[in-house]
Amino acid sequence: MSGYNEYFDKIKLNEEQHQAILDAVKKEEALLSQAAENTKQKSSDTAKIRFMRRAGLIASCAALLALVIIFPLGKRQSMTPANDKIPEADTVMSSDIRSEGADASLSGEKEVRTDAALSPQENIAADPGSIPAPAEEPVASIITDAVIPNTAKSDHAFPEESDRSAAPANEPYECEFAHSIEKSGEETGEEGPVLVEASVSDGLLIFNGKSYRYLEETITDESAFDAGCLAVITVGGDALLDPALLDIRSGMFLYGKEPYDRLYIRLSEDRFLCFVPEDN
Amino acid sequence: MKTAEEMVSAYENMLYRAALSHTGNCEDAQDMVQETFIRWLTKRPVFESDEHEKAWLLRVVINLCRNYVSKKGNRGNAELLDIYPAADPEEQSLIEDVMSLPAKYRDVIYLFYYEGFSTKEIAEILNTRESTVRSQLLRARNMLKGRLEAEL
Repeated sequence: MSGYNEYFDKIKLNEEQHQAILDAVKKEEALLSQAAENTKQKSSDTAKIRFMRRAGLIASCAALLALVIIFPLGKRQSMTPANDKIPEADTVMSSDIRSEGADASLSGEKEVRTDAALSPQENIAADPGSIPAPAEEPVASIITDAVIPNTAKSDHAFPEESDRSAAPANEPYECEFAHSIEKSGEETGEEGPVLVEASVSDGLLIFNGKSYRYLEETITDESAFDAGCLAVITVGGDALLDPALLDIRSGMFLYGKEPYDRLYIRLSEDRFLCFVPEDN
Repeated sequence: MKTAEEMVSAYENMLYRAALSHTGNCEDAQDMVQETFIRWLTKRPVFESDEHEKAWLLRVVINLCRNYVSKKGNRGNAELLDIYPAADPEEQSLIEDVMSLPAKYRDVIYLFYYEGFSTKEIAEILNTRESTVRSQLLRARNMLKGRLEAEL
């Protein structure tokens, strides 16, 4: 078989065949390399997408968890001051009422029983002569002192509807009280002062038969009141609003035809409750 | 790990001879060699030794040739002898006799006489039993002996 081997020794690929095979192999190698790179990039992109999805899912869960945890806490914290006010307001008003009666007895006049359990009408019926005499100072001047007129109506922005809806309109406010408010007989056509009942219940101020929504806002400094947007009712104090002059029109308080968007009730020397009109 | 260029340079002629011995056609043999290297690129097998590497390549090229011939049919070996004529008449006669054998005999003769593999190694390359390789070698020799005696 020596001739066989010698024959096959001569069989070789020529340069052209060699180059053709080499080119084809290199081309295939480049294609395979590119495909491997694409696969690697694809897997990398897939890994990134998976990571982003997981990160997004985790972030969503964290945000949801934060909402679930923080929202009730925030709500509880926002409720806490209101709850704190209730006993304090109640205490202040009761003491104010008692002191008012004590003042009347000290002044030599007949003692007026201003028991909170009794309505003003009952008080009147019990002793009609006990109605305190009108203050020497005209009621109108007191009102002027108490009410800060809206001198910048056009500039002042009334609360937005969304702000009002955000207010805890139905926040339970269990403080009910009855308070005697002097009313000018000249304005009502009646002789002498009459008593008007004001009460706060379930977040509404019932004042002269009209309701005012309680806006949870307490300021402790009267000087912080915005000029032109506030009316001040002093409960248990000296300065009183005349309920006959107080009205609601188009979502704002009208007091002596002057518009206000908030009504403050003084609970004590440095505490006020804020109300916004209940448009009904 | 060898580069593609190194592999082509090292084994292209060996594979070309094996393919040419099986197909008898230069273009087909060249295609089979190219396809063998592409298979190597795709699979990138890890070889224990150079012998293992060589055996793997031969096995692939022969299998490719078998598949190709079974699909296309044997196109004869006239082209081989035209392109690569033997040096002298005796050698030409011998090559014609070998190439006239069935492909399965040509493979074992090429691997046994030219590449120098043992029957055991040929059995591993061709994925068959060693006894089969031996019987195929015996039959191929007897067939060649008969044809040579007839020519003389």
